[in-house]
Amino acid sequence: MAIFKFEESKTIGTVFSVDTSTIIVKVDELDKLRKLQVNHLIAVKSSKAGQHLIGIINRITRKVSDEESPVNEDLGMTNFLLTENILKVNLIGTLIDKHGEKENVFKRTLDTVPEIEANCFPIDGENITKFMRTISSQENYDVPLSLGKYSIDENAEAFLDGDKLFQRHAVIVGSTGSGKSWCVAKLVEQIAKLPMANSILFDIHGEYSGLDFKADGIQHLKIANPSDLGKTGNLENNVLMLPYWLLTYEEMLAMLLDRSDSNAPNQAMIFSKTVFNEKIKFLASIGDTTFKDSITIDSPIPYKMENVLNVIKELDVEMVKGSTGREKQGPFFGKLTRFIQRLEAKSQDKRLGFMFQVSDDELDINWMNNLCNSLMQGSNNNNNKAGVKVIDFSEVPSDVLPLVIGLVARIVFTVQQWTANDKRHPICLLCDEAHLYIPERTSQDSASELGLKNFERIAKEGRKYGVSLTVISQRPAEVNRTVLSQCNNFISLRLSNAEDQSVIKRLLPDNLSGLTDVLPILDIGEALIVGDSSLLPTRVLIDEPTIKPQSATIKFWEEWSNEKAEQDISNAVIGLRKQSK
Amino acid sequence: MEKEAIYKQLQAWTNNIPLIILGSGASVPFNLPSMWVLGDYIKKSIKFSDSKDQNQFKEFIVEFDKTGDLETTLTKLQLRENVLAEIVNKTWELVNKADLEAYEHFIKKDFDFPLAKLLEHFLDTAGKKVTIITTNYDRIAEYASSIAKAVICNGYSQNLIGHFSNNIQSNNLASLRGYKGQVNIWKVHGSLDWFKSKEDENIQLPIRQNIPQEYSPLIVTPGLSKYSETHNEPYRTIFTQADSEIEHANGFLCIGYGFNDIHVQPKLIAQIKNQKPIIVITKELTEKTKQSIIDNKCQNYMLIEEANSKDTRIFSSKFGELIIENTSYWELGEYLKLIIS
Repeated sequence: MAIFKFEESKTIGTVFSVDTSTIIVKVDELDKLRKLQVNHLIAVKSSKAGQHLIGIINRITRKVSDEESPVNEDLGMTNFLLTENILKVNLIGTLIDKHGEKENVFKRTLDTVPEIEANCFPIDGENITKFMRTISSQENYDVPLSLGKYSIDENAEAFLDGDKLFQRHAVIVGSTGSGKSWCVAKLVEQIAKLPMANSILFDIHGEYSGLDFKADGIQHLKIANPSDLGKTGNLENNVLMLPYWLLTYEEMLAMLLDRSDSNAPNQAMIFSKTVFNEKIKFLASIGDTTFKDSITIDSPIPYKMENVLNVIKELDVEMVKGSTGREKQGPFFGKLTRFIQRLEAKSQDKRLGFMFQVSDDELDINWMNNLCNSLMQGSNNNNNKAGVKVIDFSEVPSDVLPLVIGLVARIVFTVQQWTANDKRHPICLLCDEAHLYIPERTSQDSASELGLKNFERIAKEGRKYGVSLTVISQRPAEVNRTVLSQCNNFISLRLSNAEDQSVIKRLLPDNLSGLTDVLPILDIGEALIVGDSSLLPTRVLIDEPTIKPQSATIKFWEEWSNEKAEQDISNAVIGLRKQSK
Repeated sequence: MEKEAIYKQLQAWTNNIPLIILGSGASVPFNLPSMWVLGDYIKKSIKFSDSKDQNQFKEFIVEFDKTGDLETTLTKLQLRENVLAEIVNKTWELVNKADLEAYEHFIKKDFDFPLAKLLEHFLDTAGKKVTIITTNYDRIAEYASSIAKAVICNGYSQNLIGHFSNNIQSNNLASLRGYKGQVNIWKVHGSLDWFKSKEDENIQLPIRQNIPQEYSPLIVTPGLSKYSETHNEPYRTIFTQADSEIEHANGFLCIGYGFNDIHVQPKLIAQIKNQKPIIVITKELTEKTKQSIIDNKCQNYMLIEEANSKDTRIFSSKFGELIIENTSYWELGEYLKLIIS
């Protein structure tokens, strides 16, 4: 059944002028104009049978003509006659009653231009429910993706096209306290229900690692803190080590080398040579035959950092025989001292313990397999039957955060790249607080620059290898533009900052940019969803997730009013010293 | 997949508001007489007193018995005025009787009336205007338009006594309030409602039970008179209008039309050769239809007919010939199920 059957008498007006996808509708009756609101949907009769053009009201104006009214006439009456009631409507698509064997198909294209004088009808009441149901239940998956209900019609659930949402990357933005984490939780909850789900959530503040955020299909991992160091079985206990040998040559140098040092080229050369030798030695020591002829300096092969240090230290004090037979200082004598100091400092830094203070576990050639298995296996293949892996980065120092997250992202991307096409299982990276590690402006610090490059690469090429990004941030203005511009789905909660609003506005097509006017006035937990995944740009009231992120706003006044409020500073100080909670 | 593509093609062409051409096949579902029944009725019900008339009528009967086809018979004979007039009157009587019976059914709504549904569908657009060209005398197109709540424009003023005017169609009838739109019906062979007085006055008297005294029906019977009759009004205006609408049409939807008529054909074929899309739905495609369209190398056509008494056969310019089993899309009612949800 066609969903729209409009009575002629219900018309709000007729098309007055047309400018590509924007039309002006003249409303004859003031009563009808009063009932209309901005962002309501209207249907315009098409020149083709069985089709309606669908538009969103962008502006409603009632204006009095500038022409001077004759003085001798009753002024009230004349004003009334000269009033022009006008709607500006952005056309967004066509509803086709019958398309092939499918009924009621909504398409985001306009293959006809509206005719002048064509009748326009409001889509309200029963029609809006029917229409919303139509555009929602396009694809029928067993577990459809739904974030909540439409603001304009609370009876209709807002389903999103899960394929398109992840294929073309997504952005979830909203000022602090607008319900962003709630929205992420709702999304994660639904992903976790799928039998072969696969995604990684970068949890920067430990919001998603609390006790309330536990459900089947969700696994919590944590970056090792000083108390976990040197232990074996970390990975099995969901503690993540990211040993130094996973770093590429560039990443290593970015971390260790002081480029302003006059000996930097020497240091880099010696270091790479030694590391490469150590990798070969390691392979020899385990009797490997597969890799030894084909590895490069960047190949993730374990090696012992101590050995590297020893070799470099020897070179630093090496004496060689001179031409006269007397001993003289070797070619690198004293030139590596500073580098050794930096390397030692880094490897003893407890904060970077998850990288440098590895146990025998992480020096096993199979460890990387285990790591990738636990990070990248879909629910059913995963030991914990968990498709969503929440990695808690809350204890990682902020200066190395971009490098560490970039490293995880790079490993995921390269493993996907090296997987055969038919065996590749898509994976999504949910990047919470993305402005921290996918920033618009990078500092001179080249380590974070490398992390950012990884994300830029995923944003541009990830689609082809089944790696999807969901950028989550409260400051879209501070998130890298290259990454944002690759995202085709926007879930925006309330944004009060004008700069942030304009970023979202710029990302939308011209005829939809008017929609962003609602960004500052959205309710808490209300989102504007625009993009491939939703046929219509819509406002959605996000449902309460059953798993709750730990981000509830602290009630200052209430806490201050509470006589029995507790404080525990001494333990905090201990934690601060230990660098772990 | 091909089926889906064909449906989409049919939907696209049909929803583009093509000009509708109704042939005799379109009236068959409403029990209107076929040429054979009509000939048989004429044969049995006419008596002449004048001997010359009697002789000629005998000649007619012999010829009709031989061919069994009224059209061929009439084409072969140069009939006397009296005989022709009587044949016209009898034709009117028989067709009118069946037409009024159908009318009763439409009022009682115990007949499925897909044409009305099609018109409603077409009028529910921004343009609110549909054109029908028909060679039938019956009022099926008018009934359908009335049920679809449209204003009818057929050249006559829509009154109890309607006068012909050659500029009535230039009114903007589509936007009249209280109507769903406008249907232009150009009846190139006349209508049961049209009569000519002895003084050559040309008027429309809707839904008559019988021919008024001193009036003769304005219908063109097949045969040689078809050519001479149609030089006069209202036909001249109607042809001009029909030709111009064919020229400006988006495409054509022929229902039960056999491509046997010299008044509609030439313009139509020129247009479809000019790449305008044409859909023909009929129980059996005539040789003439296939010749005019397929052999003429038209580039956008869909010809739909019955096959194997239970299937639908489609000849398409794009998809070739194929059969869709256990469907009868050659019937308008079934066809509309593809178009209207």
